[in-house]
Amino acid sequence: MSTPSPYNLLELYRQHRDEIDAITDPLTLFILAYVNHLGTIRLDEIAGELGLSPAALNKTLLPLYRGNFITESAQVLSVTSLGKRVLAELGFGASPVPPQPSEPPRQPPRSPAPSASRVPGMTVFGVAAVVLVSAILLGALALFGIFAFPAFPPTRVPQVITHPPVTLARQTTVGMTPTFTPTPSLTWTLTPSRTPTWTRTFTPTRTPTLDTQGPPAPAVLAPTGGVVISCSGTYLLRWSSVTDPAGIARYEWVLEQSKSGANGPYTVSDSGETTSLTATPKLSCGWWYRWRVRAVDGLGNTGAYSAYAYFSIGID
Amino acid sequence: MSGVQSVPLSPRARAYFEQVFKPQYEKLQRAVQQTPLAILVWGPGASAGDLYQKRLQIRDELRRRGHAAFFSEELEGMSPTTLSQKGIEFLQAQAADLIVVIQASYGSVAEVHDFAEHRVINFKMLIFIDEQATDGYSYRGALQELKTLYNNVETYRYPEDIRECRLLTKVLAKVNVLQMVKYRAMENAKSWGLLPGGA
Repeated sequence: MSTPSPYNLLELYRQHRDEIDAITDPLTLFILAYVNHLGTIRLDEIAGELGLSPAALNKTLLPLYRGNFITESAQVLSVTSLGKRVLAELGFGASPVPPQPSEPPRQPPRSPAPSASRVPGMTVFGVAAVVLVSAILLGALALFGIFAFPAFPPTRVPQVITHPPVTLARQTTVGMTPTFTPTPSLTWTLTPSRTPTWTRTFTPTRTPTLDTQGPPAPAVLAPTGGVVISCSGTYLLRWSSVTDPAGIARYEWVLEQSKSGANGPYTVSDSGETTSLTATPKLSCGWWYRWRVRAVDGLGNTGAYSAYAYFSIGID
Repeated sequence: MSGVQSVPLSPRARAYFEQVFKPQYEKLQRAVQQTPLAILVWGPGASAGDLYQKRLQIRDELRRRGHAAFFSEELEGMSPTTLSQKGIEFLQAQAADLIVVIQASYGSVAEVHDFAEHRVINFKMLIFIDEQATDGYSYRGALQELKTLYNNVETYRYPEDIRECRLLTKVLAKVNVLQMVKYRAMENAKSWGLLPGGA
Protein backbone atom coordinates (compact mmCIF):
# COMPACT_ATOMS: atom_id res chain seq x y z
CA MET A 1 0.00 0.00 0.00
CA SER A 2 1.44 3.33 -1.07
CA THR A 3 1.81 6.37 1.10
CA PRO A 4 -0.91 8.94 0.49
CA SER A 5 0.29 11.80 -1.65
CA PRO A 6 0.32 15.19 0.05
CA TYR A 7 -1.21 16.58 -3.10
CA ASN A 8 -4.46 14.77 -2.62
CA LEU A 9 -6.96 17.45 -1.73
CA LEU A 10 -9.34 15.00 -0.13
CA GLU A 11 -6.52 13.60 1.93
CA LEU A 12 -5.59 17.13 2.94
CA TYR A 13 -9.21 17.79 3.79
CA ARG A 14 -9.33 14.66 5.92
CA GLN A 15 -6.20 15.73 7.75
CA HIS A 16 -7.34 19.32 8.27
CA ARG A 17 -11.05 18.87 8.44
CA ASP A 18 -11.50 20.94 11.60
CA GLU A 19 -9.60 23.85 10.14
CA ILE A 20 -11.50 23.72 6.86
CA ASP A 21 -14.85 23.31 8.61
CA ALA A 22 -14.03 26.29 10.80
CA ILE A 23 -13.03 28.61 7.99
CA THR A 24 -15.69 27.59 5.47
CA ASP A 25 -18.57 28.23 7.84
CA PRO A 26 -19.09 32.02 7.95
CA LEU A 27 -20.48 32.11 11.47
CA THR A 28 -17.66 30.00 12.90
CA LEU A 29 -15.04 32.10 11.14
CA PHE A 30 -16.76 35.28 12.29
CA ILE A 31 -16.68 34.12 15.92
CA LEU A 32 -12.97 33.30 15.63
CA ALA A 33 -12.21 36.69 14.06
CA TYR A 34 -14.39 38.55 16.55
CA VAL A 35 -12.83 36.90 19.60
CA ASN A 36 -9.43 37.68 18.14
CA HIS A 37 -10.51 41.28 17.61
CA LEU A 38 -11.65 41.60 21.22
CA GLY A 39 -8.74 39.68 22.75
CA THR A 40 -10.83 37.80 25.29
CA ILE A 41 -14.53 37.52 25.92
CA ARG A 42 -16.67 35.58 28.33
CA LEU A 43 -18.77 32.74 26.93
CA ASP A 44 -22.02 34.19 28.20
CA GLU A 45 -21.07 37.61 26.87
CA ILE A 46 -20.45 36.43 23.32
CA ALA A 47 -23.57 34.27 23.42
CA GLY A 48 -25.49 37.42 24.29
CA GLU A 49 -23.78 39.48 21.61
CA LEU A 50 -24.61 36.91 18.94
CA GLY A 51 -28.06 36.09 20.26
CA LEU A 52 -27.18 32.39 20.43
CA SER A 53 -28.24 29.88 23.02
CA PRO A 54 -25.37 28.23 24.94
CA ALA A 55 -26.04 24.99 23.05
CA ALA A 56 -25.97 26.69 19.65
CA LEU A 57 -22.81 28.59 20.58
CA ASN A 58 -21.09 25.38 21.71
CA LYS A 59 -22.04 23.67 18.47
CA THR A 60 -20.53 26.52 16.46
CA LEU A 61 -17.42 26.59 18.61
CA LEU A 62 -16.84 22.85 18.31
CA PRO A 63 -14.61 22.91 15.19
CA LEU A 64 -12.71 25.80 16.71
CA TYR A 65 -12.06 23.82 19.89
CA ARG A 66 -11.22 20.68 17.92
CA GLY A 67 -8.85 22.52 15.63
CA ASN A 68 -7.17 24.20 18.60
CA PHE A 69 -7.98 27.65 17.23
CA ILE A 70 -9.69 28.85 20.34
CA THR A 71 -9.34 28.00 24.01
CA GLU A 72 -11.62 28.47 26.93
CA SER A 73 -10.45 28.99 30.47
CA ALA A 74 -12.73 29.88 33.36
CA GLN A 75 -15.51 30.59 30.86
CA VAL A 76 -13.31 33.05 28.98
CA LEU A 77 -12.51 32.53 25.29
CA SER A 78 -9.28 33.52 23.61
CA VAL A 79 -7.70 32.71 20.25
CA THR A 80 -4.66 30.42 20.21
CA SER A 81 -1.48 31.22 18.33
CA LEU A 82 -2.55 28.72 15.66
CA GLY A 83 -5.90 30.49 15.35
CA LYS A 84 -4.15 33.85 15.04
CA ARG A 85 -1.91 32.50 12.32
CA VAL A 86 -4.83 31.07 10.34
CA LEU A 87 -6.72 34.35 10.70
CA ALA A 88 -3.71 36.32 9.53
CA GLU A 89 -3.36 34.06 6.50
CA LEU A 90 -7.00 34.58 5.66
CA GLY A 91 -6.64 38.34 5.97
CA PHE A 92 -8.30 38.75 9.36
CA GLY A 93 -5.52 40.35 11.34
CA ALA A 94 -5.69 41.48 14.93
CA SER A 95 -6.05 45.11 13.96
CA PRO A 96 -9.65 46.27 13.79
CA VAL A 97 -8.78 48.82 11.08
CA PRO A 98 -11.10 48.31 8.13
CA PRO A 99 -9.51 47.61 4.78
CA GLN A 100 -8.62 50.66 2.72
CA PRO A 101 -10.94 51.22 -0.22
CA SER A 102 -7.98 52.07 -2.46
CA GLU A 103 -6.35 48.72 -1.84
CA PRO A 104 -5.99 46.88 -5.14
CA PRO A 105 -8.03 43.68 -5.34
CA ARG A 106 -6.14 40.54 -4.50
CA GLN A 107 -5.43 38.43 -7.52
CA PRO A 108 -6.91 35.01 -6.96
CA PRO A 109 -4.59 32.10 -7.52
CA ARG A 110 -5.11 30.53 -10.86
CA SER A 111 -3.67 27.52 -12.52
CA PRO A 112 -3.20 27.17 -16.23
CA ALA A 113 -5.68 24.35 -16.68
CA PRO A 114 -8.89 26.11 -15.68
CA SER A 115 -7.85 29.26 -17.45
CA ALA A 116 -7.63 27.24 -20.56
CA SER A 117 -11.00 25.75 -19.91
CA ARG A 118 -12.50 29.21 -19.98
CA VAL A 119 -11.10 30.01 -23.41
CA PRO A 120 -13.79 29.30 -25.98
CA GLY A 121 -12.62 27.22 -28.85
CA MET A 122 -9.52 25.88 -27.13
CA THR A 123 -8.84 22.36 -28.25
CA VAL A 124 -9.17 19.41 -26.00
CA PHE A 125 -5.53 18.67 -26.65
CA GLY A 126 -4.49 22.07 -25.37
CA VAL A 127 -6.54 21.81 -22.25
CA ALA A 128 -5.37 18.32 -21.58
CA ALA A 129 -1.80 19.46 -21.94
CA VAL A 130 -2.42 22.18 -19.41
CA VAL A 131 -3.95 19.68 -17.00
CA LEU A 132 -0.97 17.40 -17.34
CA VAL A 133 1.49 20.24 -16.89
CA SER A 134 -0.46 21.36 -13.85
CA ALA A 135 -0.33 17.85 -12.50
CA ILE A 136 3.42 17.66 -13.03
CA LEU A 137 3.90 21.02 -11.31
CA LEU A 138 1.70 20.11 -8.42
CA GLY A 139 3.30 16.70 -8.18
CA ALA A 140 6.71 18.33 -8.04
CA LEU A 141 5.52 20.66 -5.34
CA ALA A 142 4.10 17.69 -3.54
CA LEU A 143 7.54 16.11 -3.46
CA PHE A 144 8.72 19.08 -1.46
CA GLY A 145 5.74 18.69 0.81
CA ILE A 146 4.59 22.22 0.25
CA PHE A 147 0.94 21.31 0.04
CA ALA A 148 0.95 19.80 3.46
CA PHE A 149 -0.37 22.38 5.83
CA PRO A 150 2.64 23.87 7.52
CA ALA A 151 3.90 22.07 10.55
CA PHE A 152 6.41 24.88 10.92
CA PRO A 153 4.57 27.90 9.72
CA PRO A 154 6.70 30.65 8.22
CA THR A 155 6.98 33.73 10.33
CA ARG A 156 5.66 36.88 8.80
CA VAL A 157 7.22 40.07 10.08
CA PRO A 158 4.74 42.91 9.96
CA GLN A 159 6.16 46.05 8.41
CA VAL A 160 5.55 49.20 10.36
CA ILE A 161 5.99 52.41 8.44
CA THR A 162 6.65 55.43 10.62
CA HIS A 163 6.51 59.03 9.57
CA PRO A 164 8.04 62.02 11.37
CA PRO A 165 5.50 64.23 13.10
CA VAL A 166 4.08 66.96 10.92
CA THR A 167 3.22 70.41 12.36
CA LEU A 168 0.43 72.20 10.60
CA ALA A 169 0.54 76.03 10.53
CA ARG A 170 -2.53 77.68 11.90
CA GLN A 171 -4.61 79.22 9.16
CA THR A 172 -5.00 83.01 9.32
CA THR A 173 -8.02 84.82 7.97
CA VAL A 174 -7.19 87.94 5.93
CA GLY A 175 -9.80 90.63 5.27
CA MET A 176 -10.40 90.36 1.55
CA THR A 177 -13.43 90.79 -0.60
CA PRO A 178 -13.41 88.48 -3.58
CA THR A 179 -14.42 89.91 -6.93
CA PHE A 180 -15.73 87.92 -9.84
CA THR A 181 -15.24 88.93 -13.46
CA PRO A 182 -17.48 88.79 -15.36
CA THR A 183 -20.33 89.26 -12.95
CA PRO A 184 -21.82 85.90 -12.34
CA SER A 185 -25.41 85.41 -13.22
CA LEU A 186 -27.79 82.84 -12.09
CA THR A 187 -30.46 81.35 -14.26
CA TRP A 188 -33.34 79.55 -12.71
CA THR A 189 -35.15 76.87 -14.57
CA LEU A 190 -38.30 75.92 -12.85
CA THR A 191 -39.50 72.46 -13.44
CA PRO A 192 -42.81 71.50 -11.94
CA SER A 193 -42.36 68.63 -9.66
CA ARG A 194 -45.96 67.68 -9.66
CA THR A 195 -48.56 67.22 -12.34
CA PRO A 196 -51.58 69.37 -11.53
CA THR A 197 -54.84 67.63 -11.05
CA TRP A 198 -58.10 69.33 -11.87
CA THR A 199 -60.62 69.68 -9.15
CA ARG A 200 -64.18 70.77 -9.79
CA THR A 201 -66.56 72.03 -7.21
CA PHE A 202 -70.25 71.57 -7.81
CA THR A 203 -72.62 74.02 -6.17
CA PRO A 204 -76.17 72.80 -5.85
CA THR A 205 -78.70 75.20 -7.33
CA ARG A 206 -81.44 74.11 -5.04
CA THR A 207 -81.48 73.57 -1.39
CA PRO A 208 -83.58 70.59 -0.56
CA THR A 209 -86.33 71.17 1.96
CA LEU A 210 -87.44 68.57 4.38
CA ASP A 211 -90.96 67.40 3.82
CA THR A 212 -92.79 67.65 7.15
CA GLN A 213 -96.22 68.35 5.73
CA GLY A 214 -98.82 65.72 5.99
CA PRO A 215 -101.32 65.02 3.19
CA PRO A 216 -104.64 66.88 3.08
CA ALA A 217 -107.69 65.50 4.85
CA PRO A 218 -109.78 63.05 2.83
CA ALA A 219 -113.48 63.76 2.34
CA VAL A 220 -115.86 61.27 3.90
CA LEU A 221 -118.33 59.86 1.33
CA ALA A 222 -120.65 57.42 3.18
CA PRO A 223 -122.32 56.92 5.51
CA THR A 224 -122.79 60.55 6.43
CA GLY A 225 -125.45 63.06 7.37
CA GLY A 226 -127.02 61.08 10.26
CA VAL A 227 -128.42 58.47 7.97
CA VAL A 228 -130.19 55.56 9.74
CA ILE A 229 -128.98 52.21 8.49
CA SER A 230 -130.78 48.91 8.78
CA CYS A 231 -129.45 46.59 11.44
CA SER A 232 -129.21 43.69 9.02
CA GLY A 233 -126.46 43.88 6.47
CA THR A 234 -122.85 44.84 6.07
CA TYR A 235 -121.69 48.42 5.74
CA LEU A 236 -118.60 50.09 4.43
CA LEU A 237 -117.02 53.37 5.42
CA ARG A 238 -115.96 55.13 2.21
CA TRP A 239 -113.89 58.23 1.64
CA SER A 240 -112.16 60.06 -1.21
CA SER A 241 -108.50 59.72 -2.13
CA VAL A 242 -105.91 62.43 -1.55
CA THR A 243 -102.40 62.98 -3.00
CA ASP A 244 -99.03 63.93 -1.52
CA PRO A 245 -95.50 64.50 -3.06
CA ALA A 246 -94.20 61.65 -0.93
CA GLY A 247 -97.13 59.45 -1.87
CA ILE A 248 -99.87 58.08 0.36
CA ALA A 249 -98.77 55.22 2.58
CA ARG A 250 -102.12 54.46 4.26
CA TYR A 251 -105.37 55.78 5.69
CA GLU A 252 -106.28 55.67 9.37
CA TRP A 253 -109.94 55.65 10.40
CA VAL A 254 -111.64 55.88 13.80
CA LEU A 255 -115.25 54.91 14.68
CA GLU A 256 -116.92 56.17 17.85
CA GLN A 257 -120.32 55.08 19.24
CA SER A 258 -122.89 56.58 21.55
CA LYS A 259 -125.96 55.10 23.24
CA SER A 260 -127.39 58.45 24.30
CA GLY A 261 -128.08 60.03 20.95
CA ALA A 262 -126.41 61.85 18.11
CA ASN A 263 -124.95 64.44 20.42
CA GLY A 264 -123.00 61.92 22.39
CA PRO A 265 -121.08 61.30 24.46
CA TYR A 266 -119.07 59.10 22.04
CA THR A 267 -116.42 56.53 22.84
CA VAL A 268 -114.09 54.88 20.39
CA SER A 269 -115.50 51.50 19.37
CA ASP A 270 -113.34 50.56 16.41
CA SER A 271 -110.38 51.81 14.34
CA GLY A 272 -108.06 50.58 11.65
CA GLU A 273 -105.47 51.25 8.97
CA THR A 274 -105.83 50.49 5.29
CA THR A 275 -104.38 51.39 1.95
CA SER A 276 -107.81 51.22 0.27
CA LEU A 277 -110.55 53.84 0.33
CA THR A 278 -113.02 51.72 2.34
CA ALA A 279 -113.19 50.00 5.72
CA THR A 280 -115.55 47.47 7.29
CA PRO A 281 -116.17 48.45 10.91
CA LYS A 282 -117.82 46.49 13.73
CA LEU A 283 -121.29 47.91 14.28
CA SER A 284 -124.05 47.13 16.78
CA CYS A 285 -127.80 47.65 16.33
CA GLY A 286 -129.43 50.59 18.13
CA TRP A 287 -126.28 52.73 18.48
CA TRP A 288 -125.30 56.17 17.17
CA TYR A 289 -121.99 56.40 15.41
CA ARG A 290 -119.59 58.99 14.11
CA TRP A 291 -116.32 58.38 12.24
CA ARG A 292 -113.48 60.20 10.58
CA VAL A 293 -110.41 59.37 8.49
CA ARG A 294 -106.96 60.78 7.80
CA ALA A 295 -104.08 59.99 5.41
CA VAL A 296 -100.37 59.27 6.16
CA ASP A 297 -97.74 60.04 3.46
CA GLY A 298 -94.65 58.06 2.39
CA LEU A 299 -92.42 59.94 4.86
CA GLY A 300 -94.65 59.17 7.81
CA ASN A 301 -96.23 62.63 7.98
CA THR A 302 -99.78 62.41 9.26
CA GLY A 303 -102.45 64.63 7.66
CA ALA A 304 -105.44 66.23 9.29
CA TYR A 305 -108.57 64.24 10.05
CA SER A 306 -111.61 64.72 7.93
CA ALA A 307 -114.73 66.18 9.51
CA TYR A 308 -116.86 63.73 11.52
CA ALA A 309 -119.56 61.90 9.61
CA TYR A 310 -122.64 60.74 11.58
CA PHE A 311 -124.97 57.75 11.17
CA SER A 312 -126.94 55.36 13.35
CA ILE A 313 -128.02 51.70 13.18
CA GLY A 314 -131.65 50.96 13.62
CA ILE A 315 -133.30 48.18 15.60
CA ASP A 316 -135.12 46.07 13.08
CA MET B 1 -22.57 34.72 4.86
CA SER B 2 -26.21 33.95 5.68
CA GLY B 3 -25.02 32.10 8.80
CA VAL B 4 -23.87 35.38 10.30
CA GLN B 5 -26.54 37.61 8.90
CA SER B 6 -29.29 35.49 10.39
CA VAL B 7 -27.83 36.02 13.86
CA PRO B 8 -29.05 39.06 15.82
CA LEU B 9 -25.68 40.68 16.48
CA SER B 10 -25.12 43.24 19.19
CA PRO B 11 -24.27 46.78 17.97
CA ARG B 12 -20.58 46.20 18.74
CA ALA B 13 -20.48 42.87 16.92
CA ARG B 14 -22.54 44.31 14.06
CA ALA B 15 -20.04 47.14 13.61
CA TYR B 16 -17.14 44.67 13.47
CA PHE B 17 -19.04 42.48 11.05
CA GLU B 18 -19.95 45.31 8.68
CA GLN B 19 -16.69 47.26 8.80
CA VAL B 20 -14.04 44.57 9.07
CA PHE B 21 -15.27 41.03 8.69
CA LYS B 22 -17.70 41.25 5.79
CA PRO B 23 -15.43 43.06 3.30
CA GLN B 24 -12.54 40.71 4.05
CA TYR B 25 -14.72 37.62 4.01
CA GLU B 26 -16.21 38.55 0.65
CA LYS B 27 -12.73 39.15 -0.71
CA LEU B 28 -11.65 35.76 0.60
CA GLN B 29 -14.73 34.09 -0.86
CA ARG B 30 -14.03 35.56 -4.28
CA ALA B 31 -10.47 34.31 -4.15
CA VAL B 32 -11.56 30.83 -3.05
CA GLN B 33 -14.28 30.64 -5.66
CA GLN B 34 -11.74 31.44 -8.33
CA THR B 35 -9.46 28.62 -7.23
CA PRO B 36 -9.83 26.08 -10.02
CA LEU B 37 -9.93 22.33 -9.63
CA ALA B 38 -9.08 19.63 -12.15
CA ILE B 39 -12.09 17.34 -12.22
CA LEU B 40 -12.77 14.16 -14.17
CA VAL B 41 -16.37 13.15 -14.74
CA TRP B 42 -16.66 9.39 -15.32
CA GLY B 43 -19.88 7.75 -16.28
CA PRO B 44 -22.06 6.43 -19.08
CA GLY B 45 -21.77 7.53 -22.69
CA ALA B 46 -24.28 9.05 -25.08
CA SER B 47 -26.36 5.85 -25.31
CA ALA B 48 -27.37 6.24 -21.67
CA GLY B 49 -29.82 9.05 -22.40
CA ASP B 50 -30.64 11.20 -19.39
CA LEU B 51 -27.73 9.85 -17.32
CA TYR B 52 -25.34 10.98 -20.03
CA GLN B 53 -27.13 14.33 -20.13
CA LYS B 54 -26.59 14.61 -16.37
CA ARG B 55 -22.92 13.81 -16.85
CA LEU B 56 -22.71 16.55 -19.49
CA GLN B 57 -24.55 18.96 -17.23
CA ILE B 58 -22.18 18.34 -14.33
CA ARG B 59 -19.13 18.82 -16.56
CA ASP B 60 -20.50 21.99 -18.17
CA GLU B 61 -21.58 23.54 -14.88
CA LEU B 62 -18.15 22.87 -13.41
CA ARG B 63 -16.53 24.45 -16.46
CA ARG B 64 -18.87 27.43 -16.16
CA ARG B 65 -17.56 27.89 -12.64
CA GLY B 66 -14.00 27.94 -13.91
CA HIS B 67 -12.90 24.38 -13.25
CA ALA B 68 -11.01 22.13 -15.64
CA ALA B 69 -13.68 19.45 -15.96
CA PHE B 70 -13.27 16.65 -18.49
CA PHE B 71 -14.50 13.29 -19.57
CA SER B 72 -11.68 10.78 -19.83
CA GLU B 73 -12.59 10.12 -23.43
CA GLU B 74 -11.91 13.77 -24.25
CA LEU B 75 -8.28 13.34 -23.20
CA GLU B 76 -7.58 10.10 -25.03
CA GLY B 77 -5.87 11.76 -27.95
CA MET B 78 -3.26 13.32 -25.68
CA SER B 79 -2.23 10.09 -23.98
CA PRO B 80 0.99 8.20 -24.79
CA THR B 81 0.21 5.31 -27.09
CA THR B 82 2.55 3.05 -25.16
CA LEU B 83 0.31 3.03 -22.11
CA SER B 84 -2.65 0.77 -21.57
CA GLN B 85 -6.12 2.23 -21.16
CA LYS B 86 -5.90 1.49 -17.45
CA GLY B 87 -2.53 3.21 -17.25
CA ILE B 88 -3.82 6.28 -19.05
CA GLU B 89 -6.79 6.57 -16.76
CA PHE B 90 -4.55 6.08 -13.76
CA LEU B 91 -2.41 9.04 -14.84
CA GLN B 92 -5.46 11.17 -15.47
CA ALA B 93 -6.89 10.25 -12.09
CA GLN B 94 -3.62 11.00 -10.40
CA ALA B 95 -3.56 14.48 -11.90
CA ALA B 96 -7.14 15.28 -10.99
CA ASP B 97 -8.29 16.96 -7.82
CA LEU B 98 -11.65 15.22 -7.87
CA ILE B 99 -13.23 12.39 -9.82
CA VAL B 100 -16.99 12.36 -10.08
CA VAL B 101 -18.29 8.91 -10.97
CA ILE B 102 -21.84 8.21 -12.05
CA GLN B 103 -21.97 4.48 -11.45
CA ALA B 104 -24.35 3.41 -14.15
CA SER B 105 -22.26 1.80 -16.84
CA TYR B 106 -20.03 -1.22 -17.05
CA GLY B 107 -17.14 1.07 -17.88
CA SER B 108 -17.43 3.23 -14.82
CA VAL B 109 -18.00 0.20 -12.59
CA ALA B 110 -14.80 -1.28 -13.90
CA GLU B 111 -12.89 1.97 -13.43
CA VAL B 112 -13.98 2.27 -9.83
CA HIS B 113 -12.98 -1.31 -9.16
CA ASP B 114 -9.65 -0.73 -10.83
CA PHE B 115 -8.81 2.29 -8.73
CA ALA B 116 -10.54 1.52 -5.46
CA GLU B 117 -7.38 -0.26 -4.40
CA HIS B 118 -5.15 2.75 -5.08
CA ARG B 119 -5.11 4.98 -2.05
CA VAL B 120 -3.68 7.80 -4.12
CA ILE B 121 -6.87 7.90 -6.10
CA ASN B 122 -9.69 6.39 -4.12
CA PHE B 123 -9.87 9.47 -1.90
CA LYS B 124 -10.54 11.58 -4.95
CA MET B 125 -13.60 9.76 -6.13
CA LEU B 126 -17.09 10.99 -5.41
CA ILE B 127 -19.22 8.07 -6.51
CA PHE B 128 -22.93 8.11 -7.25
CA ILE B 129 -24.62 4.73 -7.55
CA ASP B 130 -28.23 3.90 -8.40
CA GLU B 131 -29.90 2.73 -5.20
CA GLN B 132 -31.36 -0.17 -7.17
CA ALA B 133 -27.82 -1.49 -7.59
CA THR B 134 -26.79 -1.36 -3.94
CA ASP B 135 -27.48 -5.06 -3.45
CA GLY B 136 -25.04 -5.97 -6.18
CA TYR B 137 -21.48 -7.10 -5.92
CA SER B 138 -20.02 -3.69 -6.71
CA TYR B 139 -21.77 -1.91 -3.86
CA ARG B 140 -21.27 -4.65 -1.32
CA GLY B 141 -17.63 -4.89 -2.25
CA ALA B 142 -15.42 -1.99 -3.19
CA LEU B 143 -17.99 0.74 -2.81
CA GLN B 144 -19.00 -0.27 0.69
CA GLU B 145 -15.36 -0.20 1.64
CA LEU B 146 -14.90 3.28 0.18
CA LYS B 147 -18.05 4.51 1.88
CA THR B 148 -16.81 3.23 5.19
CA LEU B 149 -13.36 4.66 4.72
CA TYR B 150 -14.04 8.01 3.12
CA ASN B 151 -17.81 8.53 3.03
CA ASN B 152 -17.52 9.32 -0.66
CA VAL B 153 -20.25 7.05 -2.02
CA GLU B 154 -23.73 8.45 -2.51
CA THR B 155 -26.81 6.59 -3.70
CA TYR B 156 -29.30 8.22 -6.01
CA ARG B 157 -32.89 7.41 -6.86
CA TYR B 158 -33.55 7.14 -10.56
CA PRO B 159 -35.01 9.17 -12.20
CA GLU B 160 -36.08 11.66 -9.48
CA ASP B 161 -32.59 12.61 -8.29
CA ILE B 162 -31.39 13.00 -11.86
CA ARG B 163 -34.29 15.25 -12.72
CA GLU B 164 -34.02 17.36 -9.58
CA CYS B 165 -30.29 18.05 -9.85
CA ARG B 166 -29.45 16.45 -6.50
CA LEU B 167 -26.27 14.97 -7.97
CA LEU B 168 -25.05 18.35 -9.14
CA THR B 169 -25.82 19.91 -5.75
CA LYS B 170 -23.74 17.28 -3.98
CA VAL B 171 -20.89 17.68 -6.44
CA LEU B 172 -20.86 21.45 -5.97
CA ALA B 173 -20.87 21.11 -2.18
CA LYS B 174 -17.81 18.86 -2.40
CA VAL B 175 -16.14 21.18 -4.88
CA ASN B 176 -16.64 24.19 -2.59
CA VAL B 177 -14.84 22.45 0.26
CA LEU B 178 -12.02 21.27 -1.98
CA GLN B 179 -11.59 24.76 -3.38
CA MET B 180 -10.95 26.02 0.14
CA VAL B 181 -8.45 23.21 0.73
CA LYS B 182 -6.60 23.98 -2.48
CA TYR B 183 -6.69 27.71 -1.87
CA ARG B 184 -5.14 27.21 1.57
CA ALA B 185 -2.49 24.87 0.17
CA MET B 186 -1.56 27.29 -2.58
CA GLU B 187 -1.51 30.26 -0.22
CA ASN B 188 0.88 28.35 2.02
CA ALA B 189 3.07 27.55 -0.96
CA LYS B 190 3.09 31.22 -1.94
CA SER B 191 3.92 32.39 1.55
CA TRP B 192 6.97 30.16 1.47
CA GLY B 193 8.06 31.64 -1.81
CA LEU B 194 7.50 28.41 -3.70
CA LEU B 195 4.79 29.86 -5.89
CA PRO B 196 4.62 33.38 -7.32
CA GLY B 197 2.53 35.90 -5.45
CA GLY B 198 3.75 35.20 -1.93
CA ALA B 199 5.05 37.70 0.62
